[in-house]
Amino acid sequence: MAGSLIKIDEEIVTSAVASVTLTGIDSTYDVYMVKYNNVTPDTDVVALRGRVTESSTPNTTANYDYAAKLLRSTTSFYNSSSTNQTSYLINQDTTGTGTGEQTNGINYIFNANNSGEYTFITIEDSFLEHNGNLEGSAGGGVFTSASSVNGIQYFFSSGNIASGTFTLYGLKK
Amino acid sequence: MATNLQFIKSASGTSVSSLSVTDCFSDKYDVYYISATKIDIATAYYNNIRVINSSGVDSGANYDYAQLQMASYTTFSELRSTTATSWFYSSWQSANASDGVGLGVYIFNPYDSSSYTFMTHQSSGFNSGSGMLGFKGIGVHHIAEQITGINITSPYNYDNITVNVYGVK
Repeated sequence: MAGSLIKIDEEIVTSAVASVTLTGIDSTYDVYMVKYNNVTPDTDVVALRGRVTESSTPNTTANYDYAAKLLRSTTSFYNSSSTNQTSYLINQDTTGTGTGEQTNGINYIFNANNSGEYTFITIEDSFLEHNGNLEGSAGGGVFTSASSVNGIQYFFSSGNIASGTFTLYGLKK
Repeated sequence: MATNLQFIKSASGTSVSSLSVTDCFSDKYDVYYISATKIDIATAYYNNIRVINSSGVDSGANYDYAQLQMASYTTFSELRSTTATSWFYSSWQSANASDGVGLGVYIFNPYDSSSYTFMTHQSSGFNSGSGMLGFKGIGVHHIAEQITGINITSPYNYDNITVNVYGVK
């Protein structure tokens, strides 16, 4: 395992941007991984979302399904799911601008560049929601269009990404 | 071609009450992967995780966690706390030496003194006489300080324990 994770693209946000797009997904690998850490919004009560890109253009059609368990440190867990959305929901709840509030996580992306199959993603994150309580997501999603995906875009449901590091890796075959 | 999952260090212990992996976090990485595949314990119990700061192992009530306990032989359970003294329930450890465990943990931003330290983890263990017992969970150490290592702990002695730490570059 130690010799099989290859960095492809990285974006470090130090001033506000509307979105981050990581590209470089091609047929070299079947599985890609994204790590993101220290991700904060400039607007309160927002959730991190994601879209695939085709030829580096985000696909905004209603072809995203997701389902995840929202783990919560202060109350019962929650089943979060939806179909035919215009993006993946990465944070299954909203984070914000309070002290210590940020998002950290790992996504694995499967079959993205294979034009004959849907693109699947797993979602695993740990974040402070907009009241400062620990929450996290464990689940996945699918982009229900058999197309050749070359990247992934991250953005908040409103406002900008104020800070954070996003890195795309390929898992060597 | 350079790899971006880089082995940092391994730590092992025999007949110890806990295992510290010291000075494994640095400014070289911001995300780490920790694995444990072979832990033998005197009495079956959960493995718990603490962080190491400049004063040593932090056993204060500075940990929040939320864990989904998944068993092959009974209903799932939700476990949570905002005032814990460790990230409890990271994995279940059988007292049978042949049972082993699989534990993987991601640690985020430990060395950043301006950020809390976050984690996600997943584990699969075996509860002797019952069946598989696993956990999927998250945690935060809610003090913004520099964390330099981790500590795996249980109320019972570990006969053998080995933990590996990798940096995700």
